[in-house]
Amino acid sequence: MNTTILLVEDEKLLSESVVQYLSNSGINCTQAFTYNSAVNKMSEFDFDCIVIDIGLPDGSGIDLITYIKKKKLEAGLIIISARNSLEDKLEGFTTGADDFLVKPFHLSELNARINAIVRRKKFDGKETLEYNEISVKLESRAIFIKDKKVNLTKKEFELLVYFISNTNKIITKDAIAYSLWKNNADLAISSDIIYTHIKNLRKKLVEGGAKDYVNAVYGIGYKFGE
Amino acid sequence: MKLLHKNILVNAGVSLIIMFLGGFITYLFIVNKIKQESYEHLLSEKISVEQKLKNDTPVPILTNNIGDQIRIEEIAALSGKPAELKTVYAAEDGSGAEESFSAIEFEYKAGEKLYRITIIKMFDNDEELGENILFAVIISAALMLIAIVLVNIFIYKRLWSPFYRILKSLQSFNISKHDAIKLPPTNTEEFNRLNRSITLMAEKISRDYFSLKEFTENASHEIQTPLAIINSKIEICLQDEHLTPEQANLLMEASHAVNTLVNLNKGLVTLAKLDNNQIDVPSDVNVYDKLLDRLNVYEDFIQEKDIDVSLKIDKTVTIKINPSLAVILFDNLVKNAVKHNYDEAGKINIEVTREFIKIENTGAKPKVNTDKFFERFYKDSNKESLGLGLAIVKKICEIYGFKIVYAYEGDFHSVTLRLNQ
Repeated sequence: MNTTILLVEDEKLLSESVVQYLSNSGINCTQAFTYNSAVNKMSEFDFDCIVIDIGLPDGSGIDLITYIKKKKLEAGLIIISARNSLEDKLEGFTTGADDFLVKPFHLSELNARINAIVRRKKFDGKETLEYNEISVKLESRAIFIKDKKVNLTKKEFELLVYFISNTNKIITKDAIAYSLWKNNADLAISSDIIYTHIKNLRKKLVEGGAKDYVNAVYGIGYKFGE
Repeated sequence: MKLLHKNILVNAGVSLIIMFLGGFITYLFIVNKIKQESYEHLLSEKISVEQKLKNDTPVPILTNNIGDQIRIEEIAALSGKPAELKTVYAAEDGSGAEESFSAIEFEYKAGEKLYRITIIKMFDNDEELGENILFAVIISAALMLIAIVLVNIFIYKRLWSPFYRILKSLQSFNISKHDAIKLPPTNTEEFNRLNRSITLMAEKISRDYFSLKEFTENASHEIQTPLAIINSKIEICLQDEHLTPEQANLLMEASHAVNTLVNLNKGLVTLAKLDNNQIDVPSDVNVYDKLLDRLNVYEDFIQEKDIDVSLKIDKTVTIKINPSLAVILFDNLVKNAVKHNYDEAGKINIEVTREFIKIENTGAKPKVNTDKFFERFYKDSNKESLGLGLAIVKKICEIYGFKIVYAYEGDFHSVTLRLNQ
């Protein structure tokens, strides 16, 4: 069954980009452009995940979260906001958000986070991410290829999870840099560290018996898949 | 110089000058008056002596009661000189020392005899008079000086205490808190006026400050959304399997430019927040802990570049700084040391004492003027840094009074913070 999300974002152009990208990943997206519209849509359907922009024309995204919590809806909640302020983040989390993403973000990043939250809700901690012969146990941070354990470093692990969350998507080097190194993405981009980690990951996967799913897309980044 | 001292100096200085001027004028006036009196007295003596000579009183008897000395000399001929007031040196009875006195000298014909007569007024000589007056003036001046100093010291504190209370209120005023400034009321008109002016000014500054803060946040907010849109559209384009390499390249370049804008915006917001001193209460932060924390964060890159890190840190050193700003400060310093280092086998040396924090890293020689190093947007070599990192470091140092110095020596870039403790 496909993951369903409600995207509450008033900026139409941005909303369309997100919908287009996520739909290609097999996620069903519903759009809401206002607070009221969001409330209506939520009453019609139970979403797996709700992505909320803080700045809505007719209300605050934070208030929407309060509403959702009051209605005891089980959807995972991700806040997106242009403001990177500590106060906003704290407020978001204490009100009940599960994650906080600052605009602008890479669509692949949003994809990965949505998948992470939905997995957490569905499998309640015993999550396993699977792709063909590769099996990733998120709780114990261990990976198995054909049931044989393979040891990965922290960064290699994060990289693999990111790839599997965005299969068959072209992921830019920038997106990887941001996801793994956050504020130091610029350091990562200007050095060979991404290349080094990917090289090591590929080696370990192949040596562990998996196919080499990591494909370099020249000039842009990488694609994980057949 | 303190106001009190200036006050005392001016008061005392002017008073002393006036005292001495006054004393001098008094002296001249008195001397003149006395000379006049002496002259009149001597003239009347002259007349009296002439009278006595006319009456043929024997010469030794020609003294009078007031203690004037009379010298009489018989002369052969009259020179015709008129009566003359002179200063004469004579010894007072018993003292031996000669002093100057007023005297009158005249010639008189008594019958057949010709005399030159000098009458000396034997008291109130000028020198003594001068000395006495000077003495009086000095005593008065000294007394006045003491009085001025004492009065100033005691009164001063009372008069100016409202001012110091106002100063104290001002010092504890923090614009980033919403409190209005609290100025104690006084019973001095000028200080009340000062109070009113300061209160008005503080209110205006506060209003401006908060509207600027709001503007900064709104501006950054507004900028992020179009950037997000651009980024997302590019990312979707990149998913197209049928892109030619040239198209892919163009899109990547556009994407990098957008990322640059995003980082720029983030940096500017941070700087603006620092400019407005939007910071909270500082606390004691252990330098060693914070540095180690940052080194951990950059561990990947340090390993990747094979950088040799050596630490010489006094683990007891703490600085008074807002903890989040401490993180930003050390993060920027360590990040720079890693970023601008050689791609292989570079070095980073960190030294921390109670007096300074020094971070140095190997790296290419800077091409440009090192004065500009801390200005915004300064950029050296090909690294894509915007140079905002060091501008932020400089700003934080300014806030806490750490003096920051950059130097390039023997292959090492070094940044030294002088702690003011």
